[in-house]
Amino acid sequence: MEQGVSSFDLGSPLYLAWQLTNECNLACLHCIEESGPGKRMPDEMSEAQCRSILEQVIAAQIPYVAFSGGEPMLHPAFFELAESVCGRGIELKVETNGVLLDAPRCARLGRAGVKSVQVSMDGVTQDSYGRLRAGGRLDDVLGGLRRLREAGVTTEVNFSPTRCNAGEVGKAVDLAFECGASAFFTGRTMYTGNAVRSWDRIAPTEEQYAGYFRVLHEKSAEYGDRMRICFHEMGLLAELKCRLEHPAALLIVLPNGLVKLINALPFVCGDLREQTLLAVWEHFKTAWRDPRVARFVADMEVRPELTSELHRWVRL
Amino acid sequence: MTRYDELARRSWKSGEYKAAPESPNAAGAGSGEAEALRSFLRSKLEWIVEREAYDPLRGPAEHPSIVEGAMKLAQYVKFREEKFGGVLFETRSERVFTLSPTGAAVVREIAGGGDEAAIVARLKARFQDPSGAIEREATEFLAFLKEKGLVEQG
Repeated sequence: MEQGVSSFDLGSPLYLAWQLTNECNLACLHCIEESGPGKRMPDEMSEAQCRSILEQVIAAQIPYVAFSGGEPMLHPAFFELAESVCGRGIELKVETNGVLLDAPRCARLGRAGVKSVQVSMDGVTQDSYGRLRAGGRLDDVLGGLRRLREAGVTTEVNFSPTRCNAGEVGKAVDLAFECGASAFFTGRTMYTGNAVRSWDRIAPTEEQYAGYFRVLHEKSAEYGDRMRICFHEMGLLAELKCRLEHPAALLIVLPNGLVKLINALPFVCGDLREQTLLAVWEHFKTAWRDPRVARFVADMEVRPELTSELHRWVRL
Repeated sequence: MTRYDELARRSWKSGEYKAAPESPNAAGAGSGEAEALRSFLRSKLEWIVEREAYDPLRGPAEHPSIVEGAMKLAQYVKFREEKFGGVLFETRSERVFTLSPTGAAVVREIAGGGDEAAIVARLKARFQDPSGAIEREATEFLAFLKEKGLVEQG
C-alpha cells in the first residue's frame, strides 16, 4: 500500500453523493436538509442534465454513487437513472425514507442490481417514529425493508437520535437485524436544515448521548459480524478538523447541480450545469485550501450555532 | 438514448459490431474514436453473450472462463488506476486502499485471470526479476488482499 497519498492525488473522485431532488413526501423535524412536501428547488436539473453528469461519472471511472434527497424516489427519472448507473458497473446506494418501497419498486431495484438501499427508521414504535417523521408510517418502512429483502436487495438502516427516540436505540438495532439489514448507521444529529426550527424539542442531552453510545458499543459486541453497526461518537467539529487535513474523495451534488465541499460546510466548489465534473474536481482540491474554509471551522469552535447557516451557500 | 445505447441496440439486432456512423462522410468515420467504440462494444457484447450463456447448475469445469482456484476482485471492490499507482475501493465498508505502481500491477494481473501461481508467474515475467523480490512482494501482497477480503478465490 502506498503511504502519504491523499484525495488531492486522485484523478477523479471515488464517490458521488447525489441529491436528486429536494422534494420529500415527509416533513421530518430532524431533517438536516431543508426538504419536505413542496420543497423541490425551482432550478433542479433536467433529466438531460442528469444524464450528462452520469456520462461524465462513467468516463471518470467513479466507482460509487449514492442517490439521496429529499426523497430520491420522487425524482421523475429515478429508476431510469438508477438502472443506467448500475448498468455501467457503478455501485449504487439509494438513501430513502422507505415509505414508497412497494413490491414493484423493490423488484425493480433488485433487477437493477443496486448495491444497497439505506432506509431511515428513526423509531421502533409508530409513536416515536411518527413524532419525528410527520406523515410517515413505521409499518410502511418495515414492510419496505421486508420487500427489499424478498427482492434480493441488500438493506441498511439509518437512525437519527433525538430526545424522542434515543432511548430506543437498542431495540432499533434488534429490529433492523430482524428485518435483515446488513448495517446500522447512526451518529449525532446535526443542528442544520429543518432541525434548527425544532432543536429545542428534539436535541438529545449529553447524558442521553452518553447512554446512546454505550448501548451502541454493547450492541456492536453482541452482533459482531452478523450486522455492522457504524457510528461516530465525535461531534461535527472534530470531524471537520480532520477533514481540513484529509478531505474525503467525495463530491456532494445538489439537485440544482451545485457541488458542495462537504455537507457540514456551506461552501460550494462548482456548478455541474456550467462546468465539467473533472473541472469541479480540480477546483474541489484548491477550494479546501481557501482560508475561508479553515476560518469557518475555527469559528464553529466558539459559535457551534454556525451550522444553522449551512444552506446559505458560499461560492469559493 | 445515449450513443452507446443506440449502437448497442443496433448491433444486438444486426449481430454486427458496426460502431462507426452509417455514412462514410459523417464525422468520426474510420477514426480512432470509432475504433475505440468498436472494441468497447465488442467487449460488452462478448460479456453479455457469456453472461446469457452462463448456467449456474453446471460445474466450473464446463465454464472455460471459470477456473478453480482463480482469483478475482471481491464483488464490491473496485479498482482504478492512478498516476501514483491505483486505488482499491471496498464500497460496502467505504474503505479505500491506495496502491503503489507494483500493487497496481498485481491487481491488473488479478483482473487478467488465473490462480495465484499464474498471477505471480506473469508478474515475474513482466518485471524480468530473477532475484525473486517481485515474487516475494506479490505473494505477500496477495495474502494481504485475501486477509482484507478484497479478493475471492474460485
